[in-house]
Amino acid sequence: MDYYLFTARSITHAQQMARALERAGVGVRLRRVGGGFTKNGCGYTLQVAGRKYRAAADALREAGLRPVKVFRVVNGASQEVMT
Amino acid sequence: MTYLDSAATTFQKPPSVRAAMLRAVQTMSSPGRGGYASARAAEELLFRTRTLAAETFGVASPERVVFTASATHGLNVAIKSLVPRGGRAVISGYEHNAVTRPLYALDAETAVAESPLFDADACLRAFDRELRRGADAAVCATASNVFGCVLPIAEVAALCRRFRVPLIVDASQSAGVLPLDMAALGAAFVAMPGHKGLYAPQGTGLLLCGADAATLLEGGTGSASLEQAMPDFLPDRLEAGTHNVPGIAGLEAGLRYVRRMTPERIACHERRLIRRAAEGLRRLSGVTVYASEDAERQLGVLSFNVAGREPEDVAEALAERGIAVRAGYHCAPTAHRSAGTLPRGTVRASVSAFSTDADVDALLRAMRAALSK
Repeated sequence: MDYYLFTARSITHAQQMARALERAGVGVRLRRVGGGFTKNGCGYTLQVAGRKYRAAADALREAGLRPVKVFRVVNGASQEVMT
Repeated sequence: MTYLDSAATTFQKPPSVRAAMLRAVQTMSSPGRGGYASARAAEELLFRTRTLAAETFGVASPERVVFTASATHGLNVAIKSLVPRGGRAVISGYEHNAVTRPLYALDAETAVAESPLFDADACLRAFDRELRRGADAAVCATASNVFGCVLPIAEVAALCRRFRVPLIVDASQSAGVLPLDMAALGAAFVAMPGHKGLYAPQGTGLLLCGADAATLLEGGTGSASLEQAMPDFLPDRLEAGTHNVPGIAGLEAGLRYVRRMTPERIACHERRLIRRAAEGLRRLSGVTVYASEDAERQLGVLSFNVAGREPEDVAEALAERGIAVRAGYHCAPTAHRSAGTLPRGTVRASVSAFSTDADVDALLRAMRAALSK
């Protein structure tokens, strides 16, 4: 399974990004994550299907919203693709 | 009881506020603390309410809408973020102790831009004079909690921008009644309570942030929890501890009620009632009424006095007749100094969207009865 995780600085930031993606027709799943993704403790990410990554990145840019980090997750292994 | 103390808190709330609070108690837990349904429901409520407040008050982002326990809480954050110990602040002549006491605690030089009641030009001249001398911050209420007089906030904001002094707006008496656009004002902070013109329960408030804020409380935020320093991003930086979820549910419903009714219609209704009260009180012998000839310069708050009687005695006589008003200094000695109503203070009647002509007439009947004794 191939998906991306857009990390947020707060739940509010995550919700803002989620709304922007929903408006653009990109389905998202809001998930809590631990230090493995945030480095500094509890945080939030948006999970986006791999095939929707480009549309999601474009929608966030158009909305003036920037994720803290983006990870690509393939078969459970994650790799940061943007900071 | 005839309730005429809405400047303290609006006692009658829309049924939607009660229903929203009950729903929150039954279905929501701590937001930002878990991925389960009741936490998510609370998170959604908070985001909806932030977004609604941002839209209503011209805030650039929901992240800049911070939930507080009261306007006093928000004003403390704002003042303590901008004014260093021993700094200088310029305030209007109609500020509440929620402004003057934090400044006193900071040992700040507090320059009062004093002006007579309902004299917007004099208010602006006084602000101009004091802002020229420089200040760490200016604080201006949108309207007096004692007299309902509307202060020229847009012009004060323009002066602050000209002199590069950050402005803190206390919108306690006007939120929900007068339109407010934070972006247009260019304010550093705007503080308001939920429990007055926004018809939310007590224990709620909003701080709209246009500047960097210092923390008043530190604690858990559900974010960046491995760090000991508070998050440097809003709203988490200013929201330590579990939120007042039922209160915020009431705030969302109250905001929706105000938007549905429109602040303009509510203001028109309240101003009409205040004029009715002022005209009736003026006909009574020995009563001094502090009302503007220009209805636009006053909101739903009216102060008055009775010759030879203490304000508290008048309020007590009214309470015995089932009328709820407030008397004394209304936590705003600065306003009484500006208006010349020290040392006695005033009796204050104040209305809301739920007040009626019958309420005003009940006040007038009770006053006639009280004065005849």
